Amino acid sequence: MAEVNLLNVNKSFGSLNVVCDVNLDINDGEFLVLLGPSGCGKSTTLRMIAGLEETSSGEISIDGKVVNDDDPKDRNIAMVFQNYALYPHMSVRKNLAFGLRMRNVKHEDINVKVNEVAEMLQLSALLERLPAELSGGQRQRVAMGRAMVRTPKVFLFDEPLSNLDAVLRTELRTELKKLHMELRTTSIYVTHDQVEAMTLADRIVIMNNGRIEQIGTPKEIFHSPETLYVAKFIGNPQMNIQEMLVEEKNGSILLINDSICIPVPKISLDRAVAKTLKCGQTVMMGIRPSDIYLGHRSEHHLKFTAQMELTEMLGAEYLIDFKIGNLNFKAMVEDDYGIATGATFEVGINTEKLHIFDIQ
Amino acid sequence: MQNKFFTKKKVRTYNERLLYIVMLFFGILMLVPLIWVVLTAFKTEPEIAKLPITWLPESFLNFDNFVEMFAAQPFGRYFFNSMTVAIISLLSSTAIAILAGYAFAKMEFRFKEFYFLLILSVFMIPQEVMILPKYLMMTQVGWVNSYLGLAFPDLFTAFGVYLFRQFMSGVPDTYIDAARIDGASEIKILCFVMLPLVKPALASFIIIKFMFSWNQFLWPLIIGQSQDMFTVTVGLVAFSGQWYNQWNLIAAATVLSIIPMLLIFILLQRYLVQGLVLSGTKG
Repeated sequence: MAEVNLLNVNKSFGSLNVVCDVNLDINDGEFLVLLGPSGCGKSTTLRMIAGLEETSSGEISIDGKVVNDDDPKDRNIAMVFQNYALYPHMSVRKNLAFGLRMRNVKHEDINVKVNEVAEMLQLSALLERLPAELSGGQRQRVAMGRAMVRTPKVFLFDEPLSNLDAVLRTELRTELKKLHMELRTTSIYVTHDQVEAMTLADRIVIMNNGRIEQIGTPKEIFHSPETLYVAKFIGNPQMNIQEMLVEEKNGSILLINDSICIPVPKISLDRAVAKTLKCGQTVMMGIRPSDIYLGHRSEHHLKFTAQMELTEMLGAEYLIDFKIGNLNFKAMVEDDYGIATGATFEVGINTEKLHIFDIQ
Repeated sequence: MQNKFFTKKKVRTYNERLLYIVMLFFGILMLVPLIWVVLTAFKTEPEIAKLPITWLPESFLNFDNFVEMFAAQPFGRYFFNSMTVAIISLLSSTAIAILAGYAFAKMEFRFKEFYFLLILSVFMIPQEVMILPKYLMMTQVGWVNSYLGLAFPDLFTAFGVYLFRQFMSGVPDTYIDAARIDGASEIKILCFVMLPLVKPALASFIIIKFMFSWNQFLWPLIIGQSQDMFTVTVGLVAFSGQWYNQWNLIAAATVLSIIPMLLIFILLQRYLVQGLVLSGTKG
């Protein structure tokens, strides 16, 4: 186990900067997830930590030692790749043993270690099979086993579950979480799937255009997004974002536009990301679909008259699209109360959950 | 609907059969010269000269031509020479082609594309154009009438570099990344990861290269100046005179000279048809 530190790390390909000034301290035993859309620099950051890409500038240290000039094999890390990268001509046993063989570990010790890991990952019956004879889930387990067999200081995961179907992904996600809780090895996990990030991470790093947007626990990221980008990126369905004007009336701050007027409670003002809230200033107001209520649950919240646009049944919940004046909103509710499309109804917005951002 | 489906299927089967018949015809056509040479090797001279021609020899147990061939010329020596030259050039060109192919496919260095184009340009120059400068080089280094001299033009082949570069480029980089993290050095990555994945290319190259070296005629004729340095192909010419060809001996020697190539092909052909199977990665 080890700490991993990134200090002012940059990576450019020619004139294109793909990772800009990344500073990151990953604690010993922590499960850190790098989350962001394709091309945001998360995989490049991971590959720089692995030593598969050189940094253009900055410092990467593992367990207190600067490793910028070290080869991947000397960093004592293991990596699980998105496409498994199992050697197709080697059996599962040989795949698992390869890393140890390359490090000249004794044959008997290799066997013990391989059998131990195979048992832990339920691969014992598959040891003599070739990767082509395994299912996707089994292949991914072998890939994880290959990383675990060397007991490295840091595990690096590059979207390891993205090639699996939804059911298997959920299953392996749980297994991965359990494994981490058992081994407590520092892990850095790259994904573009926010559910994976939320469920696995101790802390999440949201990246955008090569920069870190926010670092925080899943709860912090979800409940207190620090930028409009994070607010939009995290949460499914996406946060409702509306452009509002700041007004002041009788000492309280109001957010208004043509359709609605919302007095902002202190708790939301304290959480507001917008640097200043001056009268006449335009800001972006965000409210998560899960903080909008219908029926009796709307009673204690600020009520508005809305017009139903569309209802989608998602199983246990309903996703409704509605309009307040000319503003479109989405809400995630337990019941749609049979409100027909085009009908008017009352919605309650939990103003204590408002997010206020500067216009970008 | 069903009738229509069956009609389509029937048409397809008919087309396939026709295709097989055409392919079979051309296949047999290509085999005719080989069959003729093999049959001739067992015929006596009067049988060969007989008109109308006879396809089958009177006896398949007539090995006189083979005995006479070895008595007339030191063919054992010629075989040894051909084999030595083919093995030297095969080992050297395979090693160079694999290393260069790997470097061009998977490593980054300055002017990579330019160097590769340079190598390809060698590939495009006809052998005959280079014979004179090569011969002058051989005389200067004193390799005329030696095994190194015989093997020299084949120690490196641009075709091999091109072939391995193309095959290795198709191997996903993640295997190499995984091996690097697993602690493998570049040479171990090449030996344990890359080479097993490009076995079909290796098999093709060995067959083509061995065949090319074994069949070389002009260069061994020029550089091998004494009889003890003749190769099989040069030795075969000894049975052809200005006025008269000993077809029975030429056929016998040809049949024997085919055997090593045939063995190599039988040994490696399964890798040729196997193709590149990269099932360790997804998608």
